Amino acid sequence: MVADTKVKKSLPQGIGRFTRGWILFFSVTTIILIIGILAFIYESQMGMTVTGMRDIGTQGGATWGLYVVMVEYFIGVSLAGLVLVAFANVFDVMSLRPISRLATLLTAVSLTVGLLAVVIDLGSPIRGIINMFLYVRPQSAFFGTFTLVAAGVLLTSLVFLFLNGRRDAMLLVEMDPSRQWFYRFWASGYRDTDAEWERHRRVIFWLSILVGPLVVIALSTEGLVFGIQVGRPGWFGALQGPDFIVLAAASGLANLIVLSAIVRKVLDTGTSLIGPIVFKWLGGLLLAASAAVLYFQIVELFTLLYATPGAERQLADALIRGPYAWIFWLGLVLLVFGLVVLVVQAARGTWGVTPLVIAAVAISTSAVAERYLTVIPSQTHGMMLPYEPGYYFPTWVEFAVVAGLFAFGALVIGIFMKVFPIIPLKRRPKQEVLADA
Amino acid sequence: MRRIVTLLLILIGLALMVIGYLNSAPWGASSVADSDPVFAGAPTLFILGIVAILSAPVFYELLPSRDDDRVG
Repeated sequence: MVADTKVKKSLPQGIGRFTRGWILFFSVTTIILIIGILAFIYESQMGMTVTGMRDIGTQGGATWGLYVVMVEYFIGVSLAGLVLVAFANVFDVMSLRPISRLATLLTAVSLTVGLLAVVIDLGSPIRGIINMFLYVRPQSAFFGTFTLVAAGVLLTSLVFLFLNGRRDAMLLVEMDPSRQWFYRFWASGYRDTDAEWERHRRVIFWLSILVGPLVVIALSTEGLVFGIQVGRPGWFGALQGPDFIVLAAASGLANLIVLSAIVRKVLDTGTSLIGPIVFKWLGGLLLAASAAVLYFQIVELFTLLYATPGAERQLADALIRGPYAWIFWLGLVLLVFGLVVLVVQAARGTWGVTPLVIAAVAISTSAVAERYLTVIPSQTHGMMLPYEPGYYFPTWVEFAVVAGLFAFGALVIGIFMKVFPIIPLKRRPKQEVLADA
Repeated sequence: MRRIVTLLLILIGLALMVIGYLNSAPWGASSVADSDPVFAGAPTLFILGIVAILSAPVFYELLPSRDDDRVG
C-alpha cells in the first residue's frame, strides 16, 4: 500500500491524485448532471409540453428551441480542436503540441454532448435513432450531420486521441500498477521503436490531411440545415455554411483558451507545460476568427435590412428593436469587446492569460447568443403565412437539461485528467517524463 | 499484411459508402412519397463505410510489422 502510494505520487500531471478542489468540482458537476438527467426523465414522461417549444404559427411558438441552439453551439465548438491539431501536425507546429490532446478531447467531448442534445430534442429519441439508420435520406442536410459529424469527425477525433496516446499509455504501464490493465489496453502493444514512431507520424500526417475537408464538409452541412430552407426568412442563404464555420472556429478557439488556462492553473507544472507561446498562437487565431465573425454579422445584417420583403423586414425588426434586441446587442457588444481586448494584446505584442480568458469568455458567450438568434427568431418572426408573431423562451426543464450537458462535458474532461496525462509526455529522454511529476 | 488489411478496409469502406448512398433514396424520385430507401437500412451502410475507412489508420498502426524490432 505504501509502495503503491509512492508510485502514484510520481505519476505526472496529478494523475490519480484527488485534491479537495477536484472532489468539489466532481461533486458540483455530478449534482448538476443528475438534475439534468432528472429534468430529461421528467420531460420524457410529461412530453415536450413542459418545454417552451410549441408549433410554429398555429401555436405561436418555435419547434427548435434551446436544445437545437446547443447542438449548433457544441458541434461548432468541436471544430477548432481537431483542425488545430491537424494544422499543428501538417505544418509541424511544435508550439501547439502541449494542447494537442486537450484540443482533441474537446472535439470528442463537445461532439458527444452536441449529439446528445440532438437526441434529447427528439420527442421519441429511440424511435428517431432507429428510423434514422433505416430510412434517413442522404440528400438531407441532417444526414451530413449524423454521418460526417457523428461517424466521421467524432471517430476521427477518437482515433487521434487513441493513437496519439499509445506512447504515454506505454510509459504509464510501468508507473501506475493499479490501472495497468487500462494503460496496457490503450498502449496495445506499443514499444516505442523507431519503426513504430515513424509509422505513427505517417498515419497522423495523412489523417490530419483528411481532417480539413472532412470538418469543412461536415460543419457546412450544419449551416445548410438552415441555409437551404427557402420558406424561412433569415435562414435561406448561401452564407449559412461559411458563417457556421467561422463562428465555430471562434467559439471552439475561445473554449480551448479557457480550458488551456484552467489546465495550466490546476496542474502543478502547468505554467511550464503550457507556455506563453501557446496562448500567443490561440490568441492570434481567435482574433482572426472573431474578426471574420464580425464581418459575417455585418454583411448578413446589411442584407437583411436593405430593401427586404415583408417577412425579412419583420425578422430584422425583431432582432434589432424587438423581443430579441437584448440578445442581439449583448452578443454584438461582447464580440466587439472580445475583439478589442485581442487587438490591444496583439498591438502590445504580449498575450496575457487573464485578458485572453476574458476575451474568450466574451466571444464564446457571444457565439451562444448568435446561435440562439440563428435558430429561434426565424421561427417566431419569420412567418411567410399570415400568422401572428410567436414567442419562445426556454423553461426550467430545458435550462436544467442544458446545464446537465455542460456538466457532463466538464465531468468527462475532469475524469480524463485524473487517469491520463492531458498534456502529452515528452518523448526523449525518458527521464524528462518523470520530471513532470 | 498490414498494408493489405488497411487497403482492404479503405476499399470496403468506399464500396459501402457508394452502395449505401445509391440505395438510401431513389435517384430522380419526383415526390416525397417515392423517397424511401431502396432497402431499409441502406443509410447504415453509408455510415459503416465511413467507420471502416476511419478504422483503417488504427489497423495500420496496430498490426505488427517486420521493422518493429528496431528499438529507438
